[in-house]
Amino acid sequence: MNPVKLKLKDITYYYDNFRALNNMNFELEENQIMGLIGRNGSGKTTLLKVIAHQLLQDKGEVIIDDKNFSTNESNQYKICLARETLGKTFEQTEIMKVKMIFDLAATLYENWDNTYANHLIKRFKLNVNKKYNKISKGMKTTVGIILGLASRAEITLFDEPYVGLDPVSREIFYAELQKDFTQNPRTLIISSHLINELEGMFERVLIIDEGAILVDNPIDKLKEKYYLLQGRKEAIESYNTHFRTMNVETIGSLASYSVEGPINEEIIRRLKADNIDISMISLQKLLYHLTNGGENNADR
Amino acid sequence: MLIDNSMKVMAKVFLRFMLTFLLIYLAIIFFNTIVPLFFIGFSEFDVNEFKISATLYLAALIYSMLVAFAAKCTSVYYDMFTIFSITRKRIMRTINITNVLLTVTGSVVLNLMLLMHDIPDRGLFLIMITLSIYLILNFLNFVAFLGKLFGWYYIVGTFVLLASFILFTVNYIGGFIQMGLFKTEIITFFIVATAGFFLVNNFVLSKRYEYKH
Repeated sequence: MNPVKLKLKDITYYYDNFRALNNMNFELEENQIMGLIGRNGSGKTTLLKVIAHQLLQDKGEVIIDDKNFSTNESNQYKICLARETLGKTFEQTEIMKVKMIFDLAATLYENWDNTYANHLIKRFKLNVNKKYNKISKGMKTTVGIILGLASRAEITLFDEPYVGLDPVSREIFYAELQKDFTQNPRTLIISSHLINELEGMFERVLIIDEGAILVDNPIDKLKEKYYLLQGRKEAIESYNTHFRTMNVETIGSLASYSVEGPINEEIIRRLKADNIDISMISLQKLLYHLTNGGENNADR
Repeated sequence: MLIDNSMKVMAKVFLRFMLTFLLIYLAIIFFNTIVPLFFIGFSEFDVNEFKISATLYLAALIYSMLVAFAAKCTSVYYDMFTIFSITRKRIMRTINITNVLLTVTGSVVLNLMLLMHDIPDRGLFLIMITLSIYLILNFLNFVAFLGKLFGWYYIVGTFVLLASFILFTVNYIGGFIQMGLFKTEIITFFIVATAGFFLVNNFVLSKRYEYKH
């Protein structure tokens, strides 16, 4: 197990009277990729902004390498939050070429890799001589992605790194992320709605809703906890004392059960013997059921 | 360390900003001192008059540049630093150091230029100019923070009030300084007002307010 890189302790954040984050606690190991998943307005961006010190929490601490980020200056420049914007005032009033932004980032981030930044600029076909406020939404996202990847910051946060991106650019991003992470492992948090495209990369998953954590598990633990059972309805129902049913979808006599375990080896063996197919529930479905998206999850 | 990466970034954006002002300055000099010569003849060119105009325009432009940069520091560059996840404490430190450097540089340049003019009581002018620049920078930081916190329409109102105040008092204060009256009171006002804005700016930024505008 790697040492803990990032720790959030009792983080609470209010926008006026609205509680956006509610007493959040979690730990992330060094060189781990975490998927931050949640519905619109669940608090993903707020959480990333609080981690990156762009918003100051009402309560709690962000701890990096056992040091409080707010008070310890040694953690400076260790975080990069890649977003599709550089701030409202900056975008509206500053006339700055994209290459100047990268130049400033190179000055600021100690591990900045200029060769890699140039490689990414070519791959994404980004015109760095254009003014930042004149480029498209997708290009702004690309600027954020390049900042995030080339900064080589010890903790890199990507907030929905696909906004406005075409499918080709998205694939380039995924490929570059995987390649660069293999060569330069670091702690990554990626918030996303496009769960199916990214879930293969996640080592840990944090599902949040209404500012609270619903699931915080390594991906292999999720596989041991949430299952999709498919088979004859009566056959599956005969086992329903061994798990908690989150959702049921039926087609004739066949049914698809989304369930929360864990289910022990013996039961799994018996389910298989009864021709019930067992697989891991997709993260997208899990999010859907956990956030009351399903119709049959009355027991939540 | 005084010159950290944030200061280096600030220096880069300042140099870029200064270059723009330099180009404006050269354009103003060209249009106001060279272009008229095409109509009245180049034989009318007076070196001394040119020197005086050039230094006056430079003084005015330095003042404008400092004012504009101070306003940008706590609005545009605040955003930029925030995006780069620089802590607020570090941002404020960078802005404070920048203010001191701008004040010293601005005051030195302005006072050197004033050496070309016959001014009584230079020492007093040096102090007044230094303090007034530092007060203006801190005041503008404050106004920009207000704008970022509550919306930019507050800036318009604040500047209208400020302009009214300046129009109302500038003749009196300028006269007092020239005549050497109320020296202690004026200097005390500059110091107290600057300290007030400095403390409020640092206090406001240490709080959890969201700078959403």
